[in-house]
Amino acid sequence: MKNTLYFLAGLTCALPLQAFAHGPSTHHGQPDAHRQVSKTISSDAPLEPVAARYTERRIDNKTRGTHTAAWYFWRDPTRIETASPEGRIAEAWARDANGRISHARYFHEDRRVIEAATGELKARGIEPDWQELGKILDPRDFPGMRRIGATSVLGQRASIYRGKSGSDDLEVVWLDAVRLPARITRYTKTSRMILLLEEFHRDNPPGWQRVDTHVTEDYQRIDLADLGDMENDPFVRKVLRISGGHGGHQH
Amino acid sequence: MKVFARKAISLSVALAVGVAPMTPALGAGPTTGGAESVQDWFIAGQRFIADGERLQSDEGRAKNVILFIGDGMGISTVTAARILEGQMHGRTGEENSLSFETLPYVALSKTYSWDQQTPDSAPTMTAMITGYKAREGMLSVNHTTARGECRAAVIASKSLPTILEQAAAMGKDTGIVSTARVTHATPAATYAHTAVRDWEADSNISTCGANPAANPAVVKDIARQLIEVSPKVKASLKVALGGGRTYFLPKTQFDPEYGSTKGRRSDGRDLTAEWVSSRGSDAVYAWNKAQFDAASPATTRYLLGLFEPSHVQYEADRANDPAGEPSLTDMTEKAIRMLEKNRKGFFLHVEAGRIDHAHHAGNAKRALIDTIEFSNAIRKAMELTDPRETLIIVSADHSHVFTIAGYPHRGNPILGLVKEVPMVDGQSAVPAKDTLGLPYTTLGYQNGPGWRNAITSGAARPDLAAVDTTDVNFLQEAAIPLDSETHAGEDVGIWAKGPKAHLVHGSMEQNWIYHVMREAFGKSDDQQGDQQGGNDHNDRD
Repeated sequence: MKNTLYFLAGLTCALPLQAFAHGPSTHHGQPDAHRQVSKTISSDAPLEPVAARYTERRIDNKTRGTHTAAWYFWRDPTRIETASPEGRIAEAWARDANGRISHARYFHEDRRVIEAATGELKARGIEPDWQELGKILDPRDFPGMRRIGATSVLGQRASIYRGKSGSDDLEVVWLDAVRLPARITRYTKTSRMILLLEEFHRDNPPGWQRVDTHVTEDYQRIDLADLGDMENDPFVRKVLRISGGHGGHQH
Repeated sequence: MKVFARKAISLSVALAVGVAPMTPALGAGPTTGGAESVQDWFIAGQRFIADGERLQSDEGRAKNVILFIGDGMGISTVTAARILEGQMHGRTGEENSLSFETLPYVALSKTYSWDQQTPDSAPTMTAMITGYKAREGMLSVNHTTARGECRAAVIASKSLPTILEQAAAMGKDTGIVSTARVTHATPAATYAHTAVRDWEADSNISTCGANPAANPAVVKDIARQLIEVSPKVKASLKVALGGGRTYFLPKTQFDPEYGSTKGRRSDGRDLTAEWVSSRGSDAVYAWNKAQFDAASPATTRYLLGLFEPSHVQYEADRANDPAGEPSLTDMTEKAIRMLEKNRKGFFLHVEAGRIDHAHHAGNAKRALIDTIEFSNAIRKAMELTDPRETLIIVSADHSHVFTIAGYPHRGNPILGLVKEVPMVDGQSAVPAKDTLGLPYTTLGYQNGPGWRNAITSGAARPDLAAVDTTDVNFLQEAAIPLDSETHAGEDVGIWAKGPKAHLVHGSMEQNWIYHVMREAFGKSDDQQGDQQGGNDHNDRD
């Protein structure tokens, strides 16, 4: 979780799946004692491959305006992907045979990809935990979360957790066997965000578009290390601007 | 009377600010400070004067010139790295000197470019390597060049000869070494001429029509320029070491170290193979440490080493690289041992390219460790060369918004929280607090990713009391939130030793560094009538 958060902070505009997961008390490069402790509690066996579809809703407390978006999520032993068909953005974490984790963010409209090798992630205080990346948000990683009941979702047994994440109230319905959130509701001072699992599968269903490396082969690849020297590139400028204006970031 | 008055004043000041009056702790010694005796300061000063009196300018010609550039190595980076290195050796640190700080001639370099107050690495290296200030993002072309200029003929007319090319014309051997990609702005400015520093592979040239590599009217990408340099430079450029493998490999080819990574070239060419095939049987291409070590300077005539798909590892991470990578010191030594075989001499450029990247990430420790390794490489170069025949110049292209703040006591860990000299001798130093009552680090950035989001955290600043700020992944705080920390516009240092090194003095324009090197080499036949600012003589545009 912490690492996902670091990714958000370092790699520009946030994908909502991770936005749900962030915890306000963490900061760049600062070990969070609570998380370190709870992480040991929640360390589990390898995660099973899964393909999941979520719907995200954000409701503004004042205007009652609602934004809805679809999100796709895939995990397998060497790759974890998220994709937003609406935003034409995707991102992928990859783990190689040496255990090195790298990251790529795909901007399909711009035909660009920003790549970050392990060392570059570390330089930004990002040390991803593969298990944490694969679970989106494990309520057991949050010290303030308490299990308050059980339910059934999509034919699966689920636990209900409630508690605090920084100053936000958080409720998570957690699929115990699949180890994925079925529903996350985050109440902030200004909005309510709901992430709802619509369906999940062991194999990727037809029509669900993961990153096609044959297509992205022709994308222009940018090393994250180079962003600082590319601020006159219109694409880089746009990416940095989006990031700078994103209030949900943890810096 | 005076003593009484002073005590009364200090008492009233103490009461006014609401603190207890100070009373001297008789018998208690200072808890912070250096190891020097009182006399040591004077003796060291006298030694400095004596050394200065013996200093004689070397008016001779330089057989060799080595230009070391710490990318983004501003003065504060040098100071902090000096302290960190000293502290890593168990000393207080401040009194330490990095290897290049012992060089006798020092100046300041004004880094602005033709069109930038705070510059990037392209025009700054162009200034140092050609003698002319140039435009943002452009490599070794004059400032009349249009942004995004694609036409090869126009680029040729605007091209500025580099000191590397001039050394080649003089029959010297040449080399480039970098911890960045060898096609990155700083090393590339030595051999490439282009309006866009990012055109490192043909696939990066997106605005010059379809398939630019197949169009001879379009300027070549930088990797291709390295392989297809002029005949004189091709014969001269014996060694190129650094990162950037994928810029030399076709998109269809997998990287040898990272199985899922492919090359970037759309033209289908494997330029690493072409390096070998176009330079004879004694040419070597190496992509890992074992191959690098196996390339003997005695038998290897041309050596291309590309040790990562992009930039090489930060020095702090290098030991963890599964394929192994040579350090900047290793690469510098190999380059010198290859180049010194030419009796006419050599020109070598060595860049510590990742200082800049670590600063952009807001990560001071990695920047400083890379700076220390840079210093190690310079020390090795000084050991391997004769100061009577080799001019060594050390500088930076630009600075970063990196600061050393507060009033930390002598020997306070440079990566730690500020702890001041205790107000009373004998007391221990405790962390200084800001107006919120929170401790803060000595090192910080004016902007960058280290900004902590006060809006969502609800805290104006993080409490760092229990945080290990010396951790290699710690990001120093930044005042202004930017995803990438920025360069800074203040002057950087120049350090020099060897023939004509005395010409490095005072407050210099950055492009004058080239003129010092040129003067040290002496003019070649080619230089006697060389182009004044490109072939088009159109420098008043």
